[in-house]
Amino acid sequence: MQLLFYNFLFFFYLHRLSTTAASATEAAIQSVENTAAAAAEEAASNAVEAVVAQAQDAEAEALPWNRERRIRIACNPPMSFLLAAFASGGVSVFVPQNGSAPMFLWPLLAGIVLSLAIWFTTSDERSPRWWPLVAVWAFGVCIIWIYLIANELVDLLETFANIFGVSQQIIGLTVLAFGNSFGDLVADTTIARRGAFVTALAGVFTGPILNLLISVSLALTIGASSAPDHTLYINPPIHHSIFVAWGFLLLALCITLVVAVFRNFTFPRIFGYAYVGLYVIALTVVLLVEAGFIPL
Amino acid sequence: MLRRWVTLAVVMAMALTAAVATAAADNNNNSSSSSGSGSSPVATCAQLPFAQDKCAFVRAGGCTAGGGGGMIDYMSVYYCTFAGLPGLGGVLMALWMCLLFFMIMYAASLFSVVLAVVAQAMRMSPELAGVTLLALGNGAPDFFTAIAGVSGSAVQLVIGALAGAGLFVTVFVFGWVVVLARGRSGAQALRLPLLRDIILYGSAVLGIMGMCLDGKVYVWEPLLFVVAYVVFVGTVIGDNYREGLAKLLGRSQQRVRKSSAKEEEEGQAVQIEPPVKAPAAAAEVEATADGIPMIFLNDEMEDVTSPQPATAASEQQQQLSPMANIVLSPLRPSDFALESKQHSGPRTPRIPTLMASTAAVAAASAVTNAALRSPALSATGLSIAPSPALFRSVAASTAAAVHAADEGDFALPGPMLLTTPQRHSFALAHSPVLRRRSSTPMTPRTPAMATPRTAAQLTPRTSITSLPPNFTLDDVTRILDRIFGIETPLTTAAEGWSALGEQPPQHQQEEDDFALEPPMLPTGTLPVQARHGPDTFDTTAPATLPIIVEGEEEEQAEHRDDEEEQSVVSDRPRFWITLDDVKSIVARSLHWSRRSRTSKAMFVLTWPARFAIQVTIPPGVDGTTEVQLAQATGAAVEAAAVEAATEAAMESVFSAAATPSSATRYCAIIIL
Repeated sequence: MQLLFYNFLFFFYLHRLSTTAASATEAAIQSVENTAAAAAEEAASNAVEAVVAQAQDAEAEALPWNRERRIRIACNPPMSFLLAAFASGGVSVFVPQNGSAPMFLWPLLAGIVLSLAIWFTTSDERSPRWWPLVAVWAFGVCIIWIYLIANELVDLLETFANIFGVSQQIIGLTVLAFGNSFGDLVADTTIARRGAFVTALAGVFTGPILNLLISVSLALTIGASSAPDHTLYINPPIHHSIFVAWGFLLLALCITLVVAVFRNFTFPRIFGYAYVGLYVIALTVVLLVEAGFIPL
Repeated sequence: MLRRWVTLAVVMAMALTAAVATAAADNNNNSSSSSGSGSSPVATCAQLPFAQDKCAFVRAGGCTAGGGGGMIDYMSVYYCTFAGLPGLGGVLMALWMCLLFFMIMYAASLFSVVLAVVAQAMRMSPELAGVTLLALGNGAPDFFTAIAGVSGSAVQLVIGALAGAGLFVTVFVFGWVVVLARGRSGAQALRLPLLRDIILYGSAVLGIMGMCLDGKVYVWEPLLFVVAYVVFVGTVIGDNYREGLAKLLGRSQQRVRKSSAKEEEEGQAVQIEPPVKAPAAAAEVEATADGIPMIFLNDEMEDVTSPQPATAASEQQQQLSPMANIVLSPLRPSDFALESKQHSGPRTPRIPTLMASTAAVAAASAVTNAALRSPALSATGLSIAPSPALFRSVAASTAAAVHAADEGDFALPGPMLLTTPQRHSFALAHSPVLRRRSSTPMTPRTPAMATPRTAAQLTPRTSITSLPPNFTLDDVTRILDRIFGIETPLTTAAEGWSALGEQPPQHQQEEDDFALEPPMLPTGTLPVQARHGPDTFDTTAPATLPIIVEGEEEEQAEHRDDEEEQSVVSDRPRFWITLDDVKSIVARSLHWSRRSRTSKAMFVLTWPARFAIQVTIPPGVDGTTEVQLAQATGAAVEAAAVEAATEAAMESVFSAAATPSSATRYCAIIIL
């Protein structure tokens, strides 16, 4: 019952999010569709360039203002405020506490007031001057949304670790890593299929590098700085298996380097198969180390 | 400028504050709850399998999984709600996990678009946006997962995911990409980007291994990585920022020669409608040490895919020859935002083989259909007749554009001149690829130039039209003027050619003259040579079509036409844009490029001869070099002509082109 309730809630917000973001980005997305599969694939792969191009296109479209969009924008504030309240307070905002009204009413009220204000200060014909700011609004909503999903994801994965009695790091190394890298997999192989090996190769290395340099490092920095003594304690400490995984990673990098240098930066096909095999071996070894079959 | 930066700072501060605030809040929550239970989660979770009533054990806070700070207590869902059906609970939770992954990917894709719009609204440069906002957008799932994990009790999860993702992507995906690589070059990587990426990533991994060894993460440790990233951003913003972006993102645009024959896509392309067969002929140009290009015309993909040992030699000759990477095009400097990356990295020859892809054909049909329905078109009073020839031409040109942009060698930045076999159906369009880059409407430089007929066709959006029967080649010239933005009146052929230093060499032109006078079209009209009279022409075809027939070409042309006669549909091409046209266009483009002080311009011209010319001018060329470039271009074109004029090559190109199944056969002439 509880699960169903949350499911419903999340689907509701998913829909809401899509309407919010779509109102600001409809033109951009449409442009992607218009440019057919090629551009869409490029958008998936060469995200930076393609997205910039889309944005330019969206600007050219000038985000046409019409009644439908006006309705959408006006409907946004209550939803967004509810989402924000939900993200900050969880379910408790919907529950009456100590006889007083549930907390969610206030953001809802504020949102309704704001939407009424928006509705009565705009017209169907002319777009308001703050119209581009809707993108910033959608920016915030997207952050809240992604953050909510990420929270659920981490909880769920932690639960899996508890249920199966394995460590969190192994769940992260397999499930979370695969889930977060699935986009990379699709994008890079798509580019490679289309013959642009160099671009695909760039994606292969750029993804993990940026992941390490920004995403995780920034998160660790924030986490450590918000800790009492500015130090994040990894407790229990990182198991050997992760270091084995990193060892395999470094080994693979060294092999790549050697092969690249001695084969004039051309990788034979057998090398690809070998790497796929190496990944399987590495994962097996890591899992065995984790399970204690290989003592370290 | 200041406002832009302030807005950027505000937005970034907003994001960071939100992240920090939520992280801090979660930390507090978590610490309070864990202090309440009084023991570390893992220690109690170890006792979970031995608990009699697991539901009660979990409910009592014995083994929580709230590190992420999510809404749902999954432990109690699994052990209490689905107490009787653990299998069902597990399956449902696995499905829920997949759904969450899908949702976060979807949300991140929306987020990327939103960030792009924000960046655009702030008028950030694409480079800056790419390394700040858009990088944030791409890494949003990773980042927020890491935040959720770090702020809770799931640091291990984050570290594990980091290692796992690295292993997965750089080993498995890399291997798979190598397996999938194909084409002549196969898995040929670029030296510097690969070395840089490997070394950078390897050292970063070593660093993070050291960071994790002691089980403590001091705040300055991850901060070092962030600082390293900021340094890169600084590189990007700095003087060399475009190369910096290319390096940072590893998106070097230098391509090793690559020709990927997609046979299955050709098959699909053929299905779509008028048989469009993809590519085929690629001409390679390799300059000898003294800079004179030599052209090798490969008319079959099989030949092209043969092993190519020429990379090193080509690099060498590129260093020798100053005229690497020619360009031209009607571009504003802002259109080149992503272009100049081409000049970073090692100089490797770029031989994009123009090929029609399924997407290109689809895009072409979309363009054509849109044009047919365009209200702007009907407003001009022009009519467009959908013909297979028109479609093929659009498809071919679009294919060239799409593939070129796809290869990443260059983005088609400006208008594309589509010439159909029938000269009276003359299409001028922004391809879908093109219009991404050039979003600003092209306003006529001089109002007088905007005749009602041509003005409507130059809207920045997709516009394509066939010109009315009385459309003369003067109009073509005017359109070219519009494209290249040269207002100066046309001069005579002699001046134009002498500007090029080409024939007719009535008097040897000084280079200074070239610098002073814009090279013009050789004649008052675009010189079009008729290979054959318009005998099977549409009845609406203008009798006044200014056709220049050159005697010495006549016989050859006749012969060629006879060959085509047999296998051709009724609207087969009768007119050909000649190499002269190319030369003149090249000259004008060179002039335009110098004028607009852009480092690069590009022009793709497909014409019934199915040649595509791509010329790239290296940045910083002066007028002298331009003359050389023009001469080299002319020489290359001539050489191509000579090559093509040989009977065998001609047959292979033109007779094959005459068959409907290969109507879009190209040659690509690349001047290196």
